[in-house]
Amino acid sequence: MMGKHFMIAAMVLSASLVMVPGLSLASEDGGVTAKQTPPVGSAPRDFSLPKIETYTLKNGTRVTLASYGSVPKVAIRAVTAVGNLNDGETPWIADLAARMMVEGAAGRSASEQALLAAAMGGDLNIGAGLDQTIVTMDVLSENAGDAIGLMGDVLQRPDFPTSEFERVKQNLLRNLSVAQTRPQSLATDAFIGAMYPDHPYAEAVLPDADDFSALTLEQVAAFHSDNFGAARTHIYVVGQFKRRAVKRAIKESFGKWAAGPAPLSSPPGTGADPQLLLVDRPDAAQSTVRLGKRVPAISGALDLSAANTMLGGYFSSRITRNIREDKGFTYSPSSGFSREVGTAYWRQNADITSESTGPALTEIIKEIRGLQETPPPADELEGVKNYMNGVYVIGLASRGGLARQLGFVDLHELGLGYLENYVGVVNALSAQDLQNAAKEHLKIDEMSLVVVGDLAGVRPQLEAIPEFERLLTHEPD
Amino acid sequence: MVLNSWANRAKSAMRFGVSMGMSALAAAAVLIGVADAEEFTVDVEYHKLDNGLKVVLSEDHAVPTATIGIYYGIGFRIEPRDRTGFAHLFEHMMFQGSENLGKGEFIGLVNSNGGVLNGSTRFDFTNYYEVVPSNKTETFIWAEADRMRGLNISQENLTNQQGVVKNEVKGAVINQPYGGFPWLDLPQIANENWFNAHNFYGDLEDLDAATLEDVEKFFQDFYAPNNAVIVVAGDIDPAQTLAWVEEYFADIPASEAISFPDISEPRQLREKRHSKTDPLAPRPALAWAYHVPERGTAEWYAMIMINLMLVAGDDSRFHQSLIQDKGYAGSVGGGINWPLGNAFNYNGPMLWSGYLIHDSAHDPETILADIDAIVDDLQTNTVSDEEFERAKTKLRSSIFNAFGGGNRVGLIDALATFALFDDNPGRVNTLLSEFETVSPKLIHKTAQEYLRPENRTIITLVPGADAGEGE
Repeated sequence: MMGKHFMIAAMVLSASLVMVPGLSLASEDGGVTAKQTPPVGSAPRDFSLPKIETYTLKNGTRVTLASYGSVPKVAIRAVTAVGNLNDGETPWIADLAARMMVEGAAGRSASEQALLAAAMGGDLNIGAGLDQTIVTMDVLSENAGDAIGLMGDVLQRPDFPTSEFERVKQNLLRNLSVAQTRPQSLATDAFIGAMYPDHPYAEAVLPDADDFSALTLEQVAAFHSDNFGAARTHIYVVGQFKRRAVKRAIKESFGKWAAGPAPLSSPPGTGADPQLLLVDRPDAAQSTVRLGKRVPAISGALDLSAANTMLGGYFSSRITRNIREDKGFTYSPSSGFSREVGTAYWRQNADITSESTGPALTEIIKEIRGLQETPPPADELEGVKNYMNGVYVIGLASRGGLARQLGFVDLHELGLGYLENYVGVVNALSAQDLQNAAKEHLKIDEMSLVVVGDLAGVRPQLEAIPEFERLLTHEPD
Repeated sequence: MVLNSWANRAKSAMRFGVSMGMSALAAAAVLIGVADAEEFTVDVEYHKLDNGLKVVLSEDHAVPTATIGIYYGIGFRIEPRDRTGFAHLFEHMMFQGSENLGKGEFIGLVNSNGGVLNGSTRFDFTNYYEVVPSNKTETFIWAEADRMRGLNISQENLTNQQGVVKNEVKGAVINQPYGGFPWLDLPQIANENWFNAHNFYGDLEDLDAATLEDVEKFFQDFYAPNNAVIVVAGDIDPAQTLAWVEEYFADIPASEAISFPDISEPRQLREKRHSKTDPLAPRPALAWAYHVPERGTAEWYAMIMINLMLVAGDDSRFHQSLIQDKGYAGSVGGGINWPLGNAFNYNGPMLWSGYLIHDSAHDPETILADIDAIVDDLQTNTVSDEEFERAKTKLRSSIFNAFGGGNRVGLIDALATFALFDDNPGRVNTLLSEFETVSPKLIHKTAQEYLRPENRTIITLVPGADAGEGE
């Protein structure tokens, strides 16, 4: 899932010295003395999901409960199917509505809410994404019921105080102005526009500031009442909690909410022709690159996920080994999916030293072609499978992780079987499955490319790459 | 999202990792000092090998994974004067080849066994850890021992990682609005001792100047068993695990004389002001920092509580005043040892810092006056019981998160740094009770002594001439 928000704090933080090193695969060393080989370990141990209880209130609110972990805390996650998908002609109104919903509800001010949440051992968080608005609290177990009540107020009874509106709007405009100077958000904005043209998703990264400024509190209140309701809401409670008390709290806090509309179904069309979009940042030290295309929505089949892992989806991936560990062109290349309801796109990301932009792109294309042309060797495939299965367990090891995964499965209507069968499906993948997935879904001549960088230096490098020649001539400058 | 960094595990960049949070500590038991609250305790075993290696084991079987971490007692403060950024560059070298594992093979071994890993460089330690399926625990005890025994680095691999690290610096600092602000800037202005006051990420020229001899010397000087701790936590048999640690580590020789420079800071007597121009930034920003009391003193515990009341969370005074009431910014970030660590995992002089990005319409002096008013109030009036209790609740909740995470990264960080700096990893189970000595009166006294204006550094960030370029 893509991160569409550009929190300043996160931005500065991501810089930390706390950084990851090197990469994988090896071996230009032609070893003379016999090396020791690592001890292989013992037989793997089983991991099983905790018991998952799911039910629906009369008004349509869905509820999922899982007792998990031995720390006396509980993660509560209320997911409503309202996001930028519902923005219509008013980009970021979903974001503005979400921020306003935590500015006071049911007669309590934002300050009172914050103090209450802190006294429960947690913060009240809200965020609007492309498809969902998510309210979360992670509190000490004894406060689960109170937290559910607070979240119920925020979702159902926001006060939308006039006094806070301009400030909240200015906060989002400030975030937007910072995002407009970040090469990564400029690149994502251009790329999502190429992936989902003529769809609200395309406006959800960097909307027009003037249009956004014109939004009124009345529009925000109407957006809330038109969109938020029980039939679009799913509550996840994962951690240590008293089950009967939590069920009672959910019924009291959410049981009387009007059902409201069913989730909006409005997936983007099949996509436009491949595009090459160049954003000039004169004298930039790096080029920020996005290369990719639309792919089918996620299903229980994991062949394309595995192909992604092998290509650029983990430390030991082919692209990372090549352009980072062999060539030193970049620090943190990665590939992956942005998954929306009913659709998705795949892309390779990288921030590349400016003078190496062309050579790095050439290598990326070479690696994608390589997987398309030759089935991967057995040991590499085995490593990818082990990695996917290991990360699956690690991702489910926390209460927050389990709540997110359960939400992911529901958003994409995969069913619990997706989680239950994951390891088995991965283990059944063949080398040909990965090759075929890359061939079918990662065709180079269907890919779009975004480069944010010093175009005076970068453009000649792109002109030297045959794959982009045709696109360059069509590029509106 | 407010970054509550002080008792939270550092948000290190696991580039291809998974988001991991929470779960599993074995038993439920006693955390003293918290009335009628639910509690938990951490299993801790502590050993030392003859070569000085500290060994901490923590058994819990909630998830069939094990987390193996090695922490070396060398951080970025202590690096050669003409080699800024070297400690971090060296961290990268630990993945470039050892006696039995060639370049990249360590990471390949972790990944192909279903694990994730990371390394990071902080003020006073450099750490390496793996989260792996627990049946592979022995594999990675062996692999960590292999690279503690010695590195095998070629010039080609050093050159490659110089390129990678320079790209890291470009991406994080040079090509980014607010790059390095304020976390890289504040220590350089606030501190007097070079070890605390240089560019920890490194000047590009210094990074280029590093040689294989530098790598060899740094390894000899600091990467020895008597300057390290290994922590193994999770689905393990402690006796078997200790036997593996002994088997693979016991014959690695200790280093005879590991010496550390004086990193002490003089008492700050005058407020420091600095202005920074950022040509990429669209809006001004303001950052501030105070030197904190010495780690482990009564005032230090009080300072941690002050951080909780002033900057951590939406209920904090800074958030309530600067964000909610005055609307200067969308968020205020900060903490002790922020954002590279928390209030516990360092060992030397440290700052309590904060920052916000604001609009040009607001004069930084006005914002500072509001900060002063908050500080004055804390220096003049006693905190209410309600606020004090709320801070304690936040403390407890954060510690549960830090020590109870499902991937155990926060737990091994605490076990390792408490072993390295305090020779007492069992502190994870007494930490909360250590705060019992903090009273509203002590908070008052600590605010008066440590939140003096003369103990403060201010940096104002001014957007450069070509800011606001947009698309």
